Amino acid sequence: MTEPVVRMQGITKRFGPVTALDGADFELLPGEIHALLGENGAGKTTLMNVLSGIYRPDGGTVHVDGRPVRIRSPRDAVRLGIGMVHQHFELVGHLTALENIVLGREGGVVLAHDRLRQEVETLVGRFGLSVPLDQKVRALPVGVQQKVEILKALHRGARVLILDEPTTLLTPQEVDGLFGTIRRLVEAGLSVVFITHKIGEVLRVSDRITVMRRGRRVATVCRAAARAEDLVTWMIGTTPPEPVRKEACGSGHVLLEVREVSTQDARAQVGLRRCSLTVGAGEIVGIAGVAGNGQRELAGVIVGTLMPTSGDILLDGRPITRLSIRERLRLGISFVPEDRVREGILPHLSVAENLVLGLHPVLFPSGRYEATIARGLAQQAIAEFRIVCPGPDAPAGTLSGGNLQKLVTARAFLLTEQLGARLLVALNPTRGLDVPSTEFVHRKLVEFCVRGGGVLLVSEDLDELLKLSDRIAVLDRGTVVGTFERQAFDPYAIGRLMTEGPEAA
Amino acid sequence: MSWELLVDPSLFRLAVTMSVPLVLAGCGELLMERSGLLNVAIEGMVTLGASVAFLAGFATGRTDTALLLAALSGAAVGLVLAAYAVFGRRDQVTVGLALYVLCLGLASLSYRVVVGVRLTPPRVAPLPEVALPGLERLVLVGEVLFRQHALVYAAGALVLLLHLFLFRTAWGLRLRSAGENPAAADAVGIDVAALRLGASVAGGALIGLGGAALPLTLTGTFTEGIAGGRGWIALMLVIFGRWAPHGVLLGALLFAYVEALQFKVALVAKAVPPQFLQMLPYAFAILVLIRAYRGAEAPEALGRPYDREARA
Amino acid sequence: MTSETRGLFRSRAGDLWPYVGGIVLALVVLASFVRAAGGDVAAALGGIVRASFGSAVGLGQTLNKATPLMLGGVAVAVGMRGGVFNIGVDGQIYMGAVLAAGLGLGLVGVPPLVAVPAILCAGVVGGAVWGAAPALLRARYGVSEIFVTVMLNFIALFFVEYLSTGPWNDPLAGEAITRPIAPSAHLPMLLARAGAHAGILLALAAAAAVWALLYRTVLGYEIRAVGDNPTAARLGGVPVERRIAFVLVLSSALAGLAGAIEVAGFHTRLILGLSPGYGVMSILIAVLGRRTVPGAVVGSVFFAVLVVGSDSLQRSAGLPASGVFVLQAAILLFLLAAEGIRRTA
Repeated sequence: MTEPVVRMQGITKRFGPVTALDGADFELLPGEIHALLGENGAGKTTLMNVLSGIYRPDGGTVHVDGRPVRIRSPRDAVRLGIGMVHQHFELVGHLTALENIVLGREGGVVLAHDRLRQEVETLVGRFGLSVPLDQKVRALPVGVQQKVEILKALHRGARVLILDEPTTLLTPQEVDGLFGTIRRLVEAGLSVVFITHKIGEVLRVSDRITVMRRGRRVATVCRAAARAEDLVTWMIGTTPPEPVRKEACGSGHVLLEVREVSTQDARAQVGLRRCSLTVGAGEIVGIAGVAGNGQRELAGVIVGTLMPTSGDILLDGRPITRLSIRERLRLGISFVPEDRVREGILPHLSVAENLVLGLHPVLFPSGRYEATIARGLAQQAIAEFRIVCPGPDAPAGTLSGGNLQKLVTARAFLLTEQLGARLLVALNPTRGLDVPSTEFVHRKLVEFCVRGGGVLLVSEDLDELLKLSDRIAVLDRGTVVGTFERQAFDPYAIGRLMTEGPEAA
Repeated sequence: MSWELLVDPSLFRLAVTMSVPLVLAGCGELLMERSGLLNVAIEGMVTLGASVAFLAGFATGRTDTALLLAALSGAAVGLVLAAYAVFGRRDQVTVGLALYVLCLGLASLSYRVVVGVRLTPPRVAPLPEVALPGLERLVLVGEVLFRQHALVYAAGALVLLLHLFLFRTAWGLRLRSAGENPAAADAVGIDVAALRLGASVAGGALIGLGGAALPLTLTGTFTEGIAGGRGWIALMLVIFGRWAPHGVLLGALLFAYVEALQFKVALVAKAVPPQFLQMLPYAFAILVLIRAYRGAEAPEALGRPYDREARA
Repeated sequence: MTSETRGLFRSRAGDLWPYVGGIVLALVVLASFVRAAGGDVAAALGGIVRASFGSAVGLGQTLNKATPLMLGGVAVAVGMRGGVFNIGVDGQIYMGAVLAAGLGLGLVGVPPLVAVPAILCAGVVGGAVWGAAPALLRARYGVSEIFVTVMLNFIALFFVEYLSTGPWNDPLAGEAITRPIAPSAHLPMLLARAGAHAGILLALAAAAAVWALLYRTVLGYEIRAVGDNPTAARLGGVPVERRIAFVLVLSSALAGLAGAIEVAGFHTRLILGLSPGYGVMSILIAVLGRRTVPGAVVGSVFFAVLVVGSDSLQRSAGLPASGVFVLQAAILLFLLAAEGIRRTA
């Protein structure tokens, strides 16, 4: 029996009242690709954060190469040859790729650029990970940034590489590229842990699969013996819920029209380029595209945070291009922002006060703020969305990430009810939510359409788009390069458009 | 008023001398901000440094002791700020304001305790001029730049050294990354807390020295308002200088020139009430700040405490 | 009661010790300086108590001092609630005082019913105008108000120096003191024997009004939202820049009112030393009071006791007035440390 290169036993980790890890076990054999599978909140990332030194466990043991170790900081982990590439990259935007790769391992007091470049280029050659070394990282596309992160870990002598949800922001083609890289790494002697919640990927690339649920290991199987149904059952503990189905219920009435809209930001960078699309009543229009191709700008011009330099936005045929956010809220445009914590939450104000943000001018027309009304609405929302919190008066900042997402989503739907909102713009509305909550949000979206609303759904999760949308429009470099109707959904064709642009269609 | 007034070499010379407190304090603040710490106690630290330098010079008669103790006082306050901001993760502006007030009070109280109550305020001997041989004979430049007191040369050397440190050494790279993205720095094993602590102590020492320059090179005395807003101005100069040492130097010279000009104009334009002339540097500073704000990119993590466990 | 205030009281009930500890620390620091200056600690401490509580006059002084501190503390606190740091309270007090004194010098013969409100309004306007500049810069260009308000402090101070030594100077009264304002413009007395003017009532009324604004109106709700997360507020339709500008002007208007009260109630003139560091103390008060209005009210009374006490210390032990800063800052730093320890524990 080969000795596992990493063995974790009985790991527990608590964050206040929440138990994230409840006696979790994990073994990694040398030279294998091991997938760590589970839904959001199962504890996979937390467990790997313990291994990479970000968190210190409250209990349990860790053995590396058969020896017990205490990993107290990322530094200890690095010394043991453990490197982790996080879902949200840890790169210093203003520094170049080369500087990011060598940061912390500069090999001397003075920065010897030539020698360092040599070192990095050796790695590039060995693993086939080419990156433009002298460009500032923040100017690089996401797929390339990921390669920089991997090179960083390799430069530190990583023998164990942990990848946290690496495919979230990649196109299908880039995912293929990543899997190729992983196989090359393993051939060169590394062991790779691959954290994901996507069963399809797991069955493609891993040697062994460990499924986690509620902070514990549920099962470990070899890929050959694994069946998708078993994996799902292990992940969520019961038979999978009936997936929400979107029936076509469009009435044909055009609710929103984006007409030849172009935008430019403060640094004269072009966002949208003569972008056009429509959303009908009862329709869900999905927007696919690699992040950074205009999705945020599209949401921005519709919601009112960004003014187009040319073109028009029409709601029910009436132009709303220059209206303020407040006026658009009044007209019935509701919004679920992308970064819920940063853009959606008022951390020191209460849950109730958070919930009425946006509809407050309509709710309190006299100008007097009625806390009792807000509290009442909050009680309802807490019950309906099953938000875990001490009560409507608790400061919102005490809620966990998932519950904050529920709060912001609840607010968007409350707006639709109270204001009779008819257009909902949602950016990644189910990111970070577990399966039951995701299904709940999907169901609410469909209900909203049945009642005559229209949804513009921007999601990184192509599966979600494929499941819910009536139509998918692909955004590339600020313009719609292709539209797919439901009958003709083809993930690979969509992916090609996302990366190669209209020439590839 | 004639135009020659504006380019009089003695005016430039005075400007160089007056820029020293701003350069020293500005570089100290720059170092701290590059690591991610916003220090709004700077005005108090300058005042405290001035007080300590004056009292040490007064008590011992030695300028080197005065400079050393002033630097130590600044370093001590920097240490306290780091303790609160880095280890306690308190809001940096709040802590800074509290320390600002504390330093003002300590400066006054110390003065009272050491000097006591006197009819005529005591003075200390100012730093002597040191002429750099050879260089001092250069036309125009020689008189302005190379016949100055030691702190001027030190300030010039400091700007150069700081630039080399920040942009040409590994530690400078690490410091900058701690200020831009501490999570990224932590992930590669850099001790963000230690870097910020070091920057705070070293930066504080420089700010204290900047304060020392006030009694030792400009006034010879100590009064409560001796800093006169120079700490705040230094804070602004860091923004103006785009967080680069040569930018701070440029801004300091510019500002000191305006300050020196105000003195000269006061001598000539007797009709204007002096207070209005005294307002000029401050109004100028506001205008400079407005201009500097456009396109200024601060270190991304400036003013925000870093908590490793709060990353989830 | 708001959730923030409830939090304030809950924490006080359970954790009074940081405040108590801070006071003890401050007293220790004070005692050591008194000793070092060659004074008698017991006499000094006794003097402090007597000066602030022990007599009617002392009580009156405390109330008088509490007035500008309360207005300043509430001003800074409301600013912080809206996300702005108003470091310019001193300058705004002075500009409010300038306008009030200017009007007061000319209001001879006007009946009090008109003169007093007019002077107070002048103060509000003076402060508001002084706060309008940083407000505009922040709203339009995103320029931090911290630096601008500080620079304006210096400019205001020089302006007051000019007026009080120059055109408005009263040669009989002193170097930096203006002529007296019209008697009809004086604030009425609250407790005549104690020498307390009615300004404290104004301060309390202003505090109550600000509180009601913040927690009972939509405008106040929006201000709090902006202060907590301007991005989220903007997405909620709140006109963020307008609210920030408003709160900064409101904050400076309150400070201006304090300046007018100091002129009309306390000094009856404009003097250079009108604000012995009230601006700085206001910041400490606001933070100690956890950025709440009731906290600022209580904190201002406490600080008034310290200030009156330290004035007596100045006379008895010869310590400078700014020595009280050490006390106040030490208390706040102790509190910040204690909270920090409690959070990580």
